[in-house]
Amino acid sequence: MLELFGNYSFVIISSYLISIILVLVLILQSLLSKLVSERKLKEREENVEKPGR
Amino acid sequence: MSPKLIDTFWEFSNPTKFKRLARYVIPLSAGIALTCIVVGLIWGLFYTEPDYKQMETVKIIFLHVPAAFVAINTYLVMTIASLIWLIRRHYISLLAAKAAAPIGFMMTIITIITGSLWGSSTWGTFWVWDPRLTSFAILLCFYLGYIVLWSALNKLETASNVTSLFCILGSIFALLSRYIVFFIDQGLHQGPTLSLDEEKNIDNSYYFPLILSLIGFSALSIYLLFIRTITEINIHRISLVEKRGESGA
Repeated sequence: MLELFGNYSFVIISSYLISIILVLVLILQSLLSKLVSERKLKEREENVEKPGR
Repeated sequence: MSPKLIDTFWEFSNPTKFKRLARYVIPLSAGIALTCIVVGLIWGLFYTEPDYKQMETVKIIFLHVPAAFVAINTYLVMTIASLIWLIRRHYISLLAAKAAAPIGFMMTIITIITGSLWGSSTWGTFWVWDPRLTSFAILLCFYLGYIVLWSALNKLETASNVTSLFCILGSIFALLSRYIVFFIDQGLHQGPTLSLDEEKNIDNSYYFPLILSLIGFSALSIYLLFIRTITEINIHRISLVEKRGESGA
């Protein structure tokens, strides 16, 4: 694998790896925050609708 | 633009209608992003010939250029959204601007890292104060400033106005400094990669995978923008529900 791109293998592979990791982190963080916010919103709305519970 | 089309656009300032639109846009943009990025990057990485001058390092172009394209255009989207907030006071536009900032920030980081690695092997240095590189350093500072301002100001009304003004102020430096480099032909960085002039444009063997990767990164930014805007809408709604609960108690 390291021989694939000649003398520049390290530079190319590290560019791709770093970019893919950063993009995946951003996607995961976005999806997790969306899920958490949806769950919180549902809980809060239920609490407001049924304050006696 | 016809008045009917403009009216349709303003309809999406309603959170329910925006979420309904997102139900179509999210899966569509995710599909386009995944397909185009995977095909574009594999094509570019494994099925293109090395450049006569830059050798194999040219393969970084399939990441570097799309990331830079998204980084600069995300700031443009934030500027337009901030203007809409200041003029028409639509919360969705404000929340969309807030949601877009981390996307642009991350894409600017990717542009700078891939550019530095590319520069290290072609120029022999990771960084030079070239006009293009400096313009991206300025852009990064404005993204960071915008995100920090949002987290520093607790009151929504104050935060919304201050961050919008900061974003518009930043557009003068971040966007203009980016486009002015087209007229300054100096520094180590090459000229525009894509050009309407066939002689200046890159070779066809690089052109098609690059276009695919560009479409993929743009679709990815749309996907993330919608996901993050919905999150911001939910957070805003949670605070409204809590206020309602407190006043009702």
